[in-house]
Amino acid sequence: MTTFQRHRLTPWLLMAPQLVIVLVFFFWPAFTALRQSLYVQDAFGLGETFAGLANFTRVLASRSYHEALFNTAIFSLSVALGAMALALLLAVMADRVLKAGRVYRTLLIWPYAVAPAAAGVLWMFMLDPTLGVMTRALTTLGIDWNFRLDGTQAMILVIIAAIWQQMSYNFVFFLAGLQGIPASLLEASAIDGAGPWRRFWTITFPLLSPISFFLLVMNTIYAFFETFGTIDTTTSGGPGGATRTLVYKLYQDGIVGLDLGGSAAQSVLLMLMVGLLTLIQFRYVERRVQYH
Amino acid sequence: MRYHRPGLDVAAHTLLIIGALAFMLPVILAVLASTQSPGTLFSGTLPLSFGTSGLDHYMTLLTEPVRGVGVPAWRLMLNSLLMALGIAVGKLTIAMLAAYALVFFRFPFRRCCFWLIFMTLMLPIEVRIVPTYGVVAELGLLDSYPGLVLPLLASATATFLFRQFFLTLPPELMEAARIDGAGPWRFFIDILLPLSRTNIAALFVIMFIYGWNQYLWPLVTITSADHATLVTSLKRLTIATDGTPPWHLATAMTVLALLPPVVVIILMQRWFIKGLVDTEK
Amino acid sequence: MATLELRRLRKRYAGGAEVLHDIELNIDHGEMIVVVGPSGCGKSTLLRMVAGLETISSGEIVINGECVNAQEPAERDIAMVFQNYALYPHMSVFDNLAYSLKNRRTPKDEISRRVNETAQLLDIAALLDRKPRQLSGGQRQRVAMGRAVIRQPQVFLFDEPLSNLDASLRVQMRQDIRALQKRLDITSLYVTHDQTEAMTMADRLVVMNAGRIEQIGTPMTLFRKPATRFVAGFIGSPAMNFLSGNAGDLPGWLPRVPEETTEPLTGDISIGIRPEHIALTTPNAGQIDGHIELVEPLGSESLVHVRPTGHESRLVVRHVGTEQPDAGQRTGLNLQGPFHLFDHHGQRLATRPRLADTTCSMEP
Repeated sequence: MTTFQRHRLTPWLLMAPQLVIVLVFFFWPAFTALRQSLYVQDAFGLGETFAGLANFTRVLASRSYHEALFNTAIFSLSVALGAMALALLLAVMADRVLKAGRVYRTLLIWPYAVAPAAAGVLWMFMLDPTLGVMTRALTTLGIDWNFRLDGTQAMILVIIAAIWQQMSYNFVFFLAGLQGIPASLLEASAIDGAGPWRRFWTITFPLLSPISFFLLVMNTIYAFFETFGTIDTTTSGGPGGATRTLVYKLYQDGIVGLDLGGSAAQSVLLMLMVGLLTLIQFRYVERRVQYH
Repeated sequence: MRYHRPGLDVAAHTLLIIGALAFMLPVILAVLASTQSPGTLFSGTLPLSFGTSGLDHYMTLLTEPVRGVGVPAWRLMLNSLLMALGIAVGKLTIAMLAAYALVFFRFPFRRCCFWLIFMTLMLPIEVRIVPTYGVVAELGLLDSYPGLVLPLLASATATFLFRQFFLTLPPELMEAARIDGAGPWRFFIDILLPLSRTNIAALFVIMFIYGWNQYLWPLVTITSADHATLVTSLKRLTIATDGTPPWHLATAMTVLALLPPVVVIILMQRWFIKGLVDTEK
Repeated sequence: MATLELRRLRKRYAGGAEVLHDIELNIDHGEMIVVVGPSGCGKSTLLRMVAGLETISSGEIVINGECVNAQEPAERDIAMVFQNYALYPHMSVFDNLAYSLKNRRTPKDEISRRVNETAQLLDIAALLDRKPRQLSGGQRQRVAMGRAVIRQPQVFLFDEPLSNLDASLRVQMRQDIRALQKRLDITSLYVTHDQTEAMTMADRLVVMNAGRIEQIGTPMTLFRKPATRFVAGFIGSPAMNFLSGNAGDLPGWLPRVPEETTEPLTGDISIGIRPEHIALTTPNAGQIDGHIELVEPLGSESLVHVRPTGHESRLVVRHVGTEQPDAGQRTGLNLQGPFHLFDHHGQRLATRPRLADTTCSMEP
């Protein structure tokens, strides 16, 4: 394609705002994190000494980091699988009922707009140990519910709130994916004698697998980062660190605890994890995007 | 094609209705609770109807300083709105300009710029929250609107979408415009901008919601009540000093926090879905 | 009114690939030049260089005696019609036509006068308020033409403007474009891959192949005396038959061929015979017999594919008349000529003027 070749300054003028923002607020902090992860600050923050990988070994050896890693894994996996399974089920149903599907879509996508922090508060209210509506139902079932004291219950609370909030995102994608499946394929399989159940598992589900994979990555990233608000408004990482995820720990150590070296090392570790996910994701994106 | 099995249709509708109701339940309960008097609420049974307090708690929140925050909720909403608009407008502007340069110009280090920008695609601000705080502090922007908005602009999602969209336009469009005597700025304003309307609307919805719902960064960078945002202030009302939070206020505040973005998404549903599905493809 | 000259024009891409080699072309006032060639021959690149959309590696483009190499497209006073029309989708037909005038700060009343004139000329006056997506293919084509006409440019450039239309509309539009071009008397460069379109529209034809001009001339000159084997094969439908072989052992059934050249034949040569210059006859009555392999009926005529006995290649014969021979039959072939001879580089070998060239139609 031809371009505006004669205008040499214009592209730089156009690029400048984005470049400045990215350099100042992305690369500068990212490199600061890289650098700080290799230094140890003294007690008063006045000096620093090169520490090699000491920050990393300290973080990786600490029990609380292992716990946070474990919490994050449980949390992300539960949220991703729960939100995706629920979304797929509802999307298949909505795809089936055709026109009414649009009404249901409106009824199901709005939680996307609810702040993760607000979603946390909503579910915290439903599950409030003393006056929560669901708490009473649980009590009649013989479950003693108090997420303020029980770490597992606290984890369940934030998982439910996150699934509730993330489901709609997956729903939009699954519904779009389902509606993108050519009718001729389904007709062919019907002529070949496949019933609805078989047809779903042999045609629809395999055709949705790229979307599912993409959503798995996106949900994991969501659970890693955006749920900070959900956790902070409800459990603040507690009780006893039972809902402290990697980002929550990073925040506590870096912002509250002012451990610059340790939090920088945690930042770098998180970046590596997300970078890995990005690489996997990129292989998926690569197939559909041409880089010019 | 569909199988003619009425049973399946009934099952589908039933499931969808249950699903829709289940998803609405927490909000319905919160709305109901926000209209109850504290006494009714703390008696232990939440009545499944509107309470006697009506909009009293909302009025209290909006007019009087919120407990633990120091300013009324209208001020928090204004700050949230400014942050959301700042992020949405800011991102759209810089993203369109950058994508325009990347697609319609050839210049040295173009590929390099492309990668610099797209490396930011997957790393959200939460990963580098501590050093970002340091950078913003060094720039003297702590506890300010620019300090709140600017770091959240450092993401390439919108740039990526616009680039994708520009690449789908026939190159002849630009060639025709050049022959018709349009320079780069004319072409941008007369042709590209009007053609991008749908994409702009879609991204605006997504970015507005993203901006309004920000939590960690405002929590870290904002220290004065004058700049506090609504979502970040929610926690002030959910922290239970004596075991149970003031739920009549907490639910009302949550409803205030979720109403604007939910209204936006419902009104602009069509663009939102297009934008979401296009962005991530 | 303008002349257009291309002087030793070359195009090399950054990778080193040279797609145009030393293009020389002189176009007169009001002339319609059609550039034709297979896809990838460089014809579109050539057109886009004239428009100023592609850079020039070396050589000159001269409009009305002035070198325009350094000028922006808008400064060259050219107008272009694109294959996909490139109408601005968000603008009404009126605004599409008016855009170039607006960019040149033409006064409002003059813009509306000229838009209306142009719309009358192209019979699109009723469509001025519509958006491009509300128009049919033919109407879009007319709007694209209008956008070019309204500027009253020195030179018209057409980049396969009819290839997105269906066949019947294409025939109609090529007559319309031709009539309009003659009426406005604007120098035009027209690129197409369709040789019928090229033949019917051109004052002069330029046949291109692999980045070079093979031949320039009137359509009938190119048809009667193709300068290269490529031109011979490209111009005319159905395509010319070729028989290749060594000049030393030409098949005996081509007795008249050597007599036609003015110079001795050596090495590998190709002999071209147009399908209409072969006649079917009864077996043993022609120079050679063959086997009918396939008959394609076209209505008033049929294309008969015959494999001459003892030969690999098939010959296509244009057989006029509604009665058609049957596939599988034996037939005699009467090769009437003229023959076109090409050396092993594909260059035409000079031939003697033949009586048959002028009296062909008189033969029984």
